[in-house]
Amino acid sequence: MSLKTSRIILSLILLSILSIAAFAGDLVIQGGTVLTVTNGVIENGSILIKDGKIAAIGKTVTIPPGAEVINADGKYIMPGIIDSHSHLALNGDVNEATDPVTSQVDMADAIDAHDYQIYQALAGGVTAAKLMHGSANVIGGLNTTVKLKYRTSLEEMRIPGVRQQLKMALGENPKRVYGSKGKQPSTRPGIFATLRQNFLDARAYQDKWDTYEKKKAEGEEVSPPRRNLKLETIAKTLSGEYGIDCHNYVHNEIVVFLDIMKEFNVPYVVLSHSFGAYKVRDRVAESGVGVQTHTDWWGYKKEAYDAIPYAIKMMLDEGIVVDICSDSEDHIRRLNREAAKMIKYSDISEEDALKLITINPAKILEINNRTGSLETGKDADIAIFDKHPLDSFSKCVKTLIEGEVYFDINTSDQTALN
Amino acid sequence: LKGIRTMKHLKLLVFIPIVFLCCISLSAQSIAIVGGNIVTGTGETIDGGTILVKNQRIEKVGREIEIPEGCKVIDASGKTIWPGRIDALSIIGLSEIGAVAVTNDANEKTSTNTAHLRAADGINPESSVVGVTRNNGITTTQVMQGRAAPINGLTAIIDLDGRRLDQMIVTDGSAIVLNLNAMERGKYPSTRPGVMAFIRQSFFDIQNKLDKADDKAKPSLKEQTLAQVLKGEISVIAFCDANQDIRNAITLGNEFSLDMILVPGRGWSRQIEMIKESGYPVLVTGTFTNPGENQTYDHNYRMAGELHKAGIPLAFASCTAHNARQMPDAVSMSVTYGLPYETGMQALTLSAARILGIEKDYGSIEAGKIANIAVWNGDPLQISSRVVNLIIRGKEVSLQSRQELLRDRYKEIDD
Repeated sequence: MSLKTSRIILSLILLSILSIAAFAGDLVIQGGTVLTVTNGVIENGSILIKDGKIAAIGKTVTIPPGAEVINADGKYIMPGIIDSHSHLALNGDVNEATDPVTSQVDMADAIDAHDYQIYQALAGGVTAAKLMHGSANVIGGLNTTVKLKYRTSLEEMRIPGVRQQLKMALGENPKRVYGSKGKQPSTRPGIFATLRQNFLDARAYQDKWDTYEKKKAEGEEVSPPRRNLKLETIAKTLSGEYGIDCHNYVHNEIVVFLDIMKEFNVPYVVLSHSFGAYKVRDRVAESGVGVQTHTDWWGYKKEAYDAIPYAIKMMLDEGIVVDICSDSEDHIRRLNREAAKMIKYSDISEEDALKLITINPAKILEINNRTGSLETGKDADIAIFDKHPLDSFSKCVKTLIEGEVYFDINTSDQTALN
Repeated sequence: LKGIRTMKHLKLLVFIPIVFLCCISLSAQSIAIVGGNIVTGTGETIDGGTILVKNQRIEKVGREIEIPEGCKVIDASGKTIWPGRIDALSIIGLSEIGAVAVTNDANEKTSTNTAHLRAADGINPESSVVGVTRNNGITTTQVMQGRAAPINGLTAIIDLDGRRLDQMIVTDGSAIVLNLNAMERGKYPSTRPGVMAFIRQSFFDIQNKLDKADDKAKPSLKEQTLAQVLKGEISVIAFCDANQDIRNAITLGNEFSLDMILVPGRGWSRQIEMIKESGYPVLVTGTFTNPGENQTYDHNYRMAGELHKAGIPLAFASCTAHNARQMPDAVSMSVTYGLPYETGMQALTLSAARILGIEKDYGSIEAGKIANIAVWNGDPLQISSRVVNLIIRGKEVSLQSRQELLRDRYKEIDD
């Protein structure tokens, strides 16, 4: 090898190292009003991003040499919006509506990272969402919480170490789906009987395994019980390895459900929709569960007839962790506007309104240690708006996930086909 | 004699309170809204002006207006005053609970031609949707009988206050609804050409009948309505979805000289030129419909702005009952993506009144018009703003809808 060739090779290696360094380089968002959501507002603030995380945040940050700078003068910088209830990117595989109990199903198996709906949500400043089984079954499948890293892969999107939540559903939907087939459940008592029976079966199943493990540990020759994915998932839910996300509407079914959760000592439970929860908000608060709901949906079915846009504030005043979620490929694109409605219907502060679509859903999804607010050490999941995000004429102009730009209004001619 | 005197006294005793009561009710009809920023809807803004309301109508609007004695005064200082907003097409009053069939009276669904049906016959003045909707400043709406069939019944325009329908009706039966996209699998018409053929044949049948002056057979209700449509006495609201639906609607409009209003749907961007040339106004709906795979993320957010830029007159329509209160959110979004603010404001008021043919009495805060007025605590196109006073047909109406009653019922939780 001549000296010349080795020089070229060496410089090529150096170049590639440099370009890698630049790729994973530092990023600074400079200027703009920083809405931290948990630590107030910083006028003319800056954020330093290193390795996809917020390394510094404040009036000024030290800009490392070579750092890329996003000028956000006159703009508003908020944490990426989080949707705790979504069915997007599932290609229609939302309900395994063939049996009232399908806990063996995992929604991760349906997720299409290339679904154009993900991009549409990014354009509304959304960076994370819980992708969920539908409400046809009393016990549906496991929900999966992801970052909206469009056109990557399920593995990239999945947030490591996050507890999955098992979807359950009460009320009209399972009643209709199975009642119309002449099958249990066709009533609310039928739903709760299905729920209790499956919990009991899962307990018995777990006991069988516990006995087996014990005997095995004592050196006894035993053959293991048959692995039953359906009961195993429920058993893991009862032990807290998975959480529960329960679709419900009317206040009486909420009380019965919470009583069952207490009876079985279920460690982690959140309520979806829960339009009747405001009527029993003392009971909800006492149980410590979070509520993911909507601002002004109502009347589309009997169990939504008493829904009121004042409910969120009434629950917040009771100390309940509440968020605004979409359950819609449309609403997910404008959750900031849904939060703005809270100011119409209550005397809530702007910061508290923003919490409903950022840190509160992060808490409900148990990802608040890494996202949901602009704080040092958290993932750089950030949405930049041209006006205050609660202003009805504001537009999201940039959405970053872990420091990487996934939506930029300057290249927003993107469709599913380019 | 004594008896007669007593009678006289009695008469007086009755007469005086009657006069007194009349005075009270007359004065109750007079309202002065003072001090607010009046956005009249005609492009004019009067800051700190006064609106005088009497006998259902706006008597005076302006700066130096004397407030008559005994007149109820609404202090609107620091507030914004808009004309009542108009939802150009809804099913308010026809649907109480979406999924409960017995509470729904939109869409007859038993025939592909229901031109003989009237929305007015189904409207429930006491529907909880009325109070919920008007709380967001919507005071007038055109209610459609349905849109499920290719040919649907007559619409009714109503004000959102009244115990009886006759207290609410503005116009009854001014339009029918065609749906160029009303295909049903396995039943005629099940394709777009089928829908076109069905509508054409229905119109030809009427034309044949109209041409035969000697035809003694009395026309059916259905035929009477369609005959009026062909004479241009009743207008046609044409629902479209794909871009070919828009072309088909305009083709029908030209072919039968229809007085048409277009609801373009998702295919709007492919037919802007054709819509413009047709001269037909547009009802914008579907601003929040997700775009198709070959459309940009903001495709439908830009719909109203781009139609306006082409010079097409437009208003907005919820086409629903329960979500009608959210209809103005679509205007805010459209303004964010290119519709001028003033055009958005007028689309909700005066332009809507014009398209509906009620601009003589509705759509702006001008002397002589029906007093439908909303006082807002902020910019009405900001979703965060709310109505603080609402006047419909000259009467201040309650803002306690079913939802506020529920809120108050559960203010305290009993143990």
